[in-house]
Amino acid sequence: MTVDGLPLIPLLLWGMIVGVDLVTAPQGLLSRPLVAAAGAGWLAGDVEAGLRVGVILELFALDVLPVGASRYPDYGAAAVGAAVLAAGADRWAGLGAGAALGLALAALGGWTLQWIRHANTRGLQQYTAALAAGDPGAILAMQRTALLRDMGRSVSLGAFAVLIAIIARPVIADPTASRWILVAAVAVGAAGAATAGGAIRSAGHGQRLRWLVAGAVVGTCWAVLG
Amino acid sequence: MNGRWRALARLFVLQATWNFERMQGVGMGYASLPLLEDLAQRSPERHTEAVARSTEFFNCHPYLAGIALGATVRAEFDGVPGAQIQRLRTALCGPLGALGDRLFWTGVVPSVMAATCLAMTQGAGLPAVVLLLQA
Repeated sequence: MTVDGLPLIPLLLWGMIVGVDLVTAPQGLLSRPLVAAAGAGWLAGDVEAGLRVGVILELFALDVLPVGASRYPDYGAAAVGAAVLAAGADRWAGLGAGAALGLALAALGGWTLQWIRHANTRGLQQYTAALAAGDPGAILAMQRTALLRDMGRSVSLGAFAVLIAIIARPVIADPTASRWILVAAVAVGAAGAATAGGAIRSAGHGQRLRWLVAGAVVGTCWAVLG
Repeated sequence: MNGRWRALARLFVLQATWNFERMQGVGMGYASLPLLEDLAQRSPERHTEAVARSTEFFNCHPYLAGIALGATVRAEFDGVPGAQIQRLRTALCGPLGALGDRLFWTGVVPSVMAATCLAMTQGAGLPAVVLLLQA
């Protein structure tokens, strides 16, 4: 089944896989925007566009520390939507619009993560007595329900992301899309600033900061001279 | 598949039931069930207590949770008092969380991503992303 030349079912499946990967299973690196967007770009027939928008979103994601109960964006389905939007579009229009859509969808995805956590907490309250009694059946039931819930969340989010991308594709196909170049420039700058800020914060002071500066100098020289 | 392999497979869904009260607690209980099966034959009462304890509050970096799982299950088999096992779980949360988060989120992941982006700029394309997943 294809819509606008896009393989809808594989894209939805990929959106579900990367969404579930973030928290539930298998917690690998599939949900990283670089991977999710590259996969979606490949499915949409434009790997390069997927990789391009994936790198921008990855720079934003590197600044995120997904620990404990912290709130963080879900870049999985967002990267899929961004890659679908960027696929086949003009280089800068696709990058700008894709990054903008990806960031918005990632924020939405982060909100759905909170919803999942609250739903799991309510589920736990139902099974508190059974868990205290050491009932393995309660553990299995909780686990099964939570897994299905996250699969539902992920496939819904992926479907929404792909739908928005399909609706937006004709908008950025406009050849006079110079505004998207501005959006792309802002996105690239913001991604660079977010990554640099995160790197400086992680490095702190002293030797680690000196290594960071040395790495930045070498990298810049390489980029300019190479 | 024996108990150890099943427990390892279940660790991949450790955070499915992540919640604000027990965080990864129920996921740890789910992963420990195959390891505790033998205990049910030896001492059913102890097995029930162990299963109940295994679902209590726990939180650490998911990639290092297996260390805590192995330690607590071993303590259950050795007949260590329940209160001591609870203290062991609590004591392991902080170090495994701090070590894992620092090692993976601020070390391994940025390094691997940087290497992948660098490889892509050199024309590696999609294979660079596949190699990233291997890492």
